[in-house]
Amino acid sequence: LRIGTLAPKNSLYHRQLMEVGEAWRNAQGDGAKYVIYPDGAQGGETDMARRMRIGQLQGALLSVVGLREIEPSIAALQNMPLLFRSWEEVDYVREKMRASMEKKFLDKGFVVLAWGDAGWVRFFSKEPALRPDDYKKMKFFAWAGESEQQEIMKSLGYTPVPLETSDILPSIQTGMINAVPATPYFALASQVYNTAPHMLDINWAPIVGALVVTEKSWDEMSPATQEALRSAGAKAGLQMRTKARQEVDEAVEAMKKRGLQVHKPNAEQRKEWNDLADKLYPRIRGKMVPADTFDEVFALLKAYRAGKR
Amino acid sequence: MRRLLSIDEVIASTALALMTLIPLVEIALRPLHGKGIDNAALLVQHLGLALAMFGALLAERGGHLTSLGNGFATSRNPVVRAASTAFAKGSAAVLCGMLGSASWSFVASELEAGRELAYGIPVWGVQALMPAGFLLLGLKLGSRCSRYRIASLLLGVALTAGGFAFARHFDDATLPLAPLALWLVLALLAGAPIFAILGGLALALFWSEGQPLASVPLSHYQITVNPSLPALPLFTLAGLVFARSGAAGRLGALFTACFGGGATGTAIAAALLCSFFTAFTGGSGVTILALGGLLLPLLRDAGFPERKGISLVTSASALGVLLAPSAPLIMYAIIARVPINTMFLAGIVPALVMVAFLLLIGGYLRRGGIATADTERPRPDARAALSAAWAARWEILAPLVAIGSLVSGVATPTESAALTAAYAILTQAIAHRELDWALLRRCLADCAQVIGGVMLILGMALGLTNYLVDAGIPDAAVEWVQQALPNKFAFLVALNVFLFLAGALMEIYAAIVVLVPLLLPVAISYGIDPVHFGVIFLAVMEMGFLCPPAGMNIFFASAMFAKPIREVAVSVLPALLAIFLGALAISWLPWLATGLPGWLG
Ligand code: NA
Ligand code: NA
Repeated sequence: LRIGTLAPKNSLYHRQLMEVGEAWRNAQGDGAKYVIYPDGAQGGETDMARRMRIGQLQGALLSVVGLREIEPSIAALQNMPLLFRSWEEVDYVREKMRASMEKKFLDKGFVVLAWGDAGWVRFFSKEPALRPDDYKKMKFFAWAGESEQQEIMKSLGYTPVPLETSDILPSIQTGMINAVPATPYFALASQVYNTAPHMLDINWAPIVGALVVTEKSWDEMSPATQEALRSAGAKAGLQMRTKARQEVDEAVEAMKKRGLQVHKPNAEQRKEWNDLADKLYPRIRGKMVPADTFDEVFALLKAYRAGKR
Repeated sequence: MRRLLSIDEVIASTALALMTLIPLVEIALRPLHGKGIDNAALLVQHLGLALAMFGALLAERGGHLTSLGNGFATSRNPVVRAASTAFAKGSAAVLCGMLGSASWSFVASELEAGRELAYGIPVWGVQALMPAGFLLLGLKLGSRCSRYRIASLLLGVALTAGGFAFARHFDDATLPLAPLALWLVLALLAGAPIFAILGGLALALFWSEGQPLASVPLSHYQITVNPSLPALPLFTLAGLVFARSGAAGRLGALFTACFGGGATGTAIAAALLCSFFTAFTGGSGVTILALGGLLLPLLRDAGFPERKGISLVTSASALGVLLAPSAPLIMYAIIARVPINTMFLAGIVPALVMVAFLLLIGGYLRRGGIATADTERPRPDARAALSAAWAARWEILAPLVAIGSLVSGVATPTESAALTAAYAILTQAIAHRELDWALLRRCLADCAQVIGGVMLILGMALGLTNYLVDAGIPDAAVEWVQQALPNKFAFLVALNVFLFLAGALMEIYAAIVVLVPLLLPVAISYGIDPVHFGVIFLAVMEMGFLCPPAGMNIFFASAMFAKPIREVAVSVLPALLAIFLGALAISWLPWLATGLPGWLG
């Protein structure tokens, strides 16, 4: 098995992939070859999706950016801002949707082995900002490939600057952009927080990922091997979820020590953000997220919140 | 057939023109948020794919697809000559057929994904230019095997189709490496184009592991649509426009006025001018095409033997890589996540150090072999320099446009390159009235030709490096390095030697893309600053331009000055030594690189 990921070598994610490999090798027996390509050695997330399709890679640990190349409805878990208030809500919805989502991936020729996440997207900016309007005078980083998202931002009076991930750091340093939506882990690793030392402490959207393998390679395994791989994947997924959340908190602490200022919006500002999100949802539904999946997530969340109360 | 032939020029030139225009429109519309071109960055990148494939076809037509020399095709025996050409072109046609098949497998896999580029154009529609381009290239190469019209057409179709069918049939098979490799070596020696050999080798290696052949075109696609890559053709276009108009002459006059027309002054002026131009052309060898015709007579007048003159122009044209706004410098900054402006500042002093090393150690200032000029040569003259500087004011300002637009945050690297290309076109067309439509058309076509050839090599080289990554070879090498080298100085020496070999074997862009992420962490673990590492990396890579088998400058110089590749390669040996020592000096003295950005930043 050949597995690609953007996660850095020796990171939590890389270590978990190695454990999955260990389990698979033991089940598969002698001569089983398992190679991980960390640090994006096989290209970006869309490249890895492509390399799986041509059969060069058999699996990859991808975030929604890469996963939506395979199955667009996965965007429901990552591309709906301020929808989820906590990891409990994310976990609940994901667990409820898991079976149908995994079925959709199987229809596209991929088997999902593990679900993980990588923290909340927050806003990092050069100037302090707390309210949605504060960001209207800023230029935002936007994924070059996601024109729908740019359309939505423009329609609400924001200024997206479509760039590639590799352009983020030089662009924020030169003032080409002044705000970057990113996870604390990314902000720390990419040094974005040095130039954009103000972080808005809201859970804008979770970064959700999954370890997938191609159906073709899956079908070539014995049922016993499949079973071993599945349980190893489940174990790794649990680790990736619990430990990643802890590492995100550590990343924020580490950046705080080096000058990051965390801004927590008050109740009134929070409401402004939620109003913004309410304006966003109808524009996302059917465009960035397929309408039926969108409705499903909303219904699940409503049920969860009702049950909790 | 003739009408078909000019279509490649139309497509490649239009793609290049759009690559210049779209980013400018984006810059202009950015303040009026809400409007703009959908997915402008992605569109421009995909235009790069059209430029690469049709530029390569254009290069084939012009005989500018680089090969390792003409091999047996220069034999005096006409039978050997014809057989050698037929074998080289025929092999290339078969390889193009194979690459066409591999590309088609890739496009077929993309059909399932169904991504849209913009304005309803599916991504696979652009990707389909790859199999189409390779098959057309194969047809054209194959048809060169015979002088007879019908036979050449039949051969073109048969050889390309044969390659296609072979690759199609054995797509999932595991084939032994040795026979294919032997065939490739023979074709290389017979004078087959480098891209076909590199692509063929990549295919053969993936075949030997039973891995999918589509990996090779996928890598080609990945690099041609790389977000920073449009900067390469655009800065090259700017460099070509300056070269084709009187700009080179004006700058030549300026440098000669500053340093005098004697042997020493001309050598210094030539070295600086070549570096200045290479900063714009990004080390694609264009400098030699642009300046060779201007500088060689100047050097000859100053008493240089032709061979020494060629050697100086060829080697000095490798030096500008460290000078802003060279595309490799930008590429390193982005890959290593170092601020671009820091990298720009860091390159200046080392670039001058390299020029000094080249002139002093390369022996270009030595009197030996230089005939004393029979006429009195002009001496350095401040008044003449000032008026020359005024005449060349638009050209002198060009680096400021390129660097200024980037550092001020007005433009992304691609946009800054587009701005510079537009600046070059407008100043030469309006201020100097030296660029008309016909000349602009020629600049676009020449740029497409040069870049098409380079991008094909680049893509195939990346296919090859993807195999290395795939086989885990770089990883193993890095681990071995960490164990084998006890300290920083041992590492620096080894690094220089390793990069020299890499530079000789690989394209500079592929080397940056593949080696920087692998070597940078090792360098940091030895306490080397990323900015300093980048300067070392690019300094040593400059040698790769002068070293076969992938030494671009040697091929360009050989073509430009109509000299055998071997002769040019031998003539630059002293320069190679000089650049190696210069790179070592830069390695040992980090403040050469980090001093200026630290002082100004
Ligand atoms: Na060069
Ligand atoms: Na080279």
